[in-house]
Amino acid sequence: MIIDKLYAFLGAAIAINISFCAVANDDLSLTIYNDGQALVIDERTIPFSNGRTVVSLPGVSSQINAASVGFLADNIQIVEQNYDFDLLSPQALMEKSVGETVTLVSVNPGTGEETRRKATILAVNGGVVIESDGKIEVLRDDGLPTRVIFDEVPENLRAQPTLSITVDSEAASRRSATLRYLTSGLSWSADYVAVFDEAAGDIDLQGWATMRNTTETTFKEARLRLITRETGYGGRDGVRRAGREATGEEVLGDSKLYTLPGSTTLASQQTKQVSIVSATDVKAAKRYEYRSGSMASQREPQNVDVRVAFSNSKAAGLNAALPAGVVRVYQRDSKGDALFVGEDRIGHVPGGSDISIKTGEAFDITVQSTLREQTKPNRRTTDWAMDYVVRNATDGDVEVVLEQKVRGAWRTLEVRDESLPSQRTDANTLQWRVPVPAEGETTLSFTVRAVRFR
Amino acid sequence: MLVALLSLLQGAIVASEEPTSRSVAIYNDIAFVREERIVEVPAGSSTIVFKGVSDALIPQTVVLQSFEGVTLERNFDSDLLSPKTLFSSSVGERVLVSRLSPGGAQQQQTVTVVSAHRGLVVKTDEGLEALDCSGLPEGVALPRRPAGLVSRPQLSIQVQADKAGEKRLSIGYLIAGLTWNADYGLTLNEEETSAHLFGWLTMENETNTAFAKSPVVVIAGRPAIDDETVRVGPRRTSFQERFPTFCWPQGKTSGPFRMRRVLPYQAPPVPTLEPVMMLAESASMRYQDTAVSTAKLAAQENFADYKLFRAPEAVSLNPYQTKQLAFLDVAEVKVEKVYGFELGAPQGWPNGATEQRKAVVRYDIDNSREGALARALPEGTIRVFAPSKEDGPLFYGEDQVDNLAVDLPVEVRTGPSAAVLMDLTSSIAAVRDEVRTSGETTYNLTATLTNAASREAVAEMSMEEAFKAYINQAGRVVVVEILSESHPRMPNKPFPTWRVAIPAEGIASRSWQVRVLWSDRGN
Repeated sequence: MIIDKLYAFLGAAIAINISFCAVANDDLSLTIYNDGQALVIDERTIPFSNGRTVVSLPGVSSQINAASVGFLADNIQIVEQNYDFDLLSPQALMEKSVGETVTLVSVNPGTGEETRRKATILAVNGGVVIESDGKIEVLRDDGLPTRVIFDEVPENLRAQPTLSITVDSEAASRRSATLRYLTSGLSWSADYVAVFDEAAGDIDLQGWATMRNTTETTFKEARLRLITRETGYGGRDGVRRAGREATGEEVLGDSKLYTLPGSTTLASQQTKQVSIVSATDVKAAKRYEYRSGSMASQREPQNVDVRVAFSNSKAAGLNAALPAGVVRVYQRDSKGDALFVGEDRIGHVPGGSDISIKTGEAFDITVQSTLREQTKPNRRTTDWAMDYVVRNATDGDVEVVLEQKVRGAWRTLEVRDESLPSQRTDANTLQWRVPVPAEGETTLSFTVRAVRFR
Repeated sequence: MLVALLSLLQGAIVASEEPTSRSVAIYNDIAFVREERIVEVPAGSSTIVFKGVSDALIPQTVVLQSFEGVTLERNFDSDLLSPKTLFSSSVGERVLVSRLSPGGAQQQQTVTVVSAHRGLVVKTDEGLEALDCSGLPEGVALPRRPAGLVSRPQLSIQVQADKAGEKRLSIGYLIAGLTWNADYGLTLNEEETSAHLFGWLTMENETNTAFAKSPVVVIAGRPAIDDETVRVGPRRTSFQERFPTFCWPQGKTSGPFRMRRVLPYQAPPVPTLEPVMMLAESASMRYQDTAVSTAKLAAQENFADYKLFRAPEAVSLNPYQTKQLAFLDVAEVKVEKVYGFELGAPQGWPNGATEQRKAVVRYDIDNSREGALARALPEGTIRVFAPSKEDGPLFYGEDQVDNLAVDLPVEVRTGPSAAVLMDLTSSIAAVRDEVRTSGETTYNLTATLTNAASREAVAEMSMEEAFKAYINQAGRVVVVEILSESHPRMPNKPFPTWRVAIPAEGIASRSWQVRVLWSDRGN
């Protein structure tokens, strides 16, 4: 409404043959992607006049991607599309008024008396040079208060970024038109609340789609759709084994599509959340893990990672794909209050996947490595003898999965000696399951021989 | 009219003014707030606005517990009422401009706002004018508050309830700016063999929210926190809320080049710190004076894989306040003072040279299961106090400690000492197979230690640097082998370490032969 008033005013100042969108949007739909952009489909009824008409469309997103604009209506041909962001400000007003005549109102500081005179703006470069009564002077050179009154808004200065489309219309009538464009400043990702019951071995999971509108535009009564899209980073975060279960969500190509019921207003600077996934008693287990990427001694013990593993499979009780986002894990304390435990990011997770998220580090379970010996039997061969002391200060027995990466490209990599059986998870990675008794420690010792190619 | 229309669509708007109770769990870098609220929810759909939530709330982390209705959506509105939004939402509105003429006359004029971009442009009967460019004091007043702009960030939920009634709601959210760490005071006895260990949980509230009489738990350990959570964080008011005015250039023919209010923004205001209040006065300086009865200590329990300290009574945390709670008070903890030396890396062993090295003083605190302490120690700062003849314990040095489980070594390094010194003599015994890219050098090392103190000193010499230097900066691979040692090394040390007791005002020495194989060609 406010905007319409302004345009009525601006229109009068600019041209005659301009048509305005005086009615509210008939239908507005937003399709928001993970990567921070959105497709806006905006249907309006526009009173087209016959012949060449400039249609000004206020209320479009302040972060519109002008190159993506599409405008469709019956019986029109598009001549040109403009997106004007030369905004009306005091400075722009003065700069665009060079050559124009303005009225100066000077005030006498002694008496308060006002004097009016006409002046022409000659230049606006570091100061304003004017011509008045045949004399050239600098505006407010005397330091006296002087108001400047401009006759009209210079052409092409807008109060807000404005999309205007010049069309050739074949008939004068009110017709429905569809405006489509992409905008940045709208994004969404998922936020999950996982209440983990360690004793029962399950989680209650609630997934929320969190939308953020960082544009200066409020989208009123819009239908909302959310589309998952690979964002390049994140990848398969948290997925230990990719699933192959089809879940029931609507799809668009390979993306999942979530359509929110009804219509809702997405206000400027608003964060909005709606529920997308909810499940109770999903099987889950806690794991301790430690990964080492080097063969070296550590002066100080390192805390092991605590992870919560669960699956979004039908069998586990969670039959849903999980869009990328952050999983926050909560657990109950001795008084039964659910407290925050930690959070981790997951990528888009297909149905039936094994998921493992890191919630933090265990205070009481540590690993300390010692490189017992490093020898080079020959030029290409290196032997490392490692000790990993795994300590457990809790009052229960635990198992720590310890992973050793041996960085490099090897002709052969072999375990020559080990105190516990290892598993080779890939060419350069060895894994041990180390049982540690309550208030005790276990030393894992092994010797690895690596042979270089040259 | 618009508001009425909106409320029709969203159902009734119910405000929850204040939580009935609030509890806080403080982690090292973040905090979790839980609030209990009672709301009168009408049947059907309604919007519940939560007033009085912390400004530091991180919106995407809100958890809503115990509500047996359907939550339709949750909103966090942060389009704040500020000079900038006030003016930008007033475009097209009629506003009142008042001017004070130099003569003293007050002028008032009703105008229409045309643009609010980098300054206000208004339309009057005479034409267009830019405000605040004339040099006259000018002010703008709006007839009413614009709709949709909130005073503070506002959390609301839309719910659907089957029947009307009073509902208990429990909400939780993470906030930034409320953090804690541990501060320890270790007061040594005369002989430096035993100490009084005192521990504070130091909480810092750098938010604008006052947590009045709230149950507080403090959690020790490292939860995983996503970068984005901390980066997005709460919305902070900043220069972007301001409304800078850019007038046309104001250059003149005389005097310095003057521009009035043309700078886009000034630095945001520095929050004024209220005087720091502590539960114990100057707690970090004189620990032995702070007698805290055991009943007042925050009790420790296990939570998930962390340690949880529960404040013995409700705590008030005011904005910009630091508060300390005692959690540890053990009178006789066994301490061993050790002078630590590092024997260095091969590049520091020149042929025929003698180098003098200072010891780093280290206090090893006994935290074994059988000892007097036997406690999980959260990360923080340990300050060491040594007894003086007249003034009692005086500050001696400080160190940081990590989260340490029971039975792990607790080492506090206070700095170098000149009381115990080491002369390290190195000489090259043999060089073999030396080519441009690899070679083998054998060193003889002798350490002579002197003790200028009137008590026996225990020194430890470590080859950590040499053994850590397997891959040095040049990509050179170094393998260190100890061929012989004059005395056996200590068992169960990650790096070869030797221990020696030097008598009062005495001398001691140790020697080694070390072979270093080096190669420039990777592993």
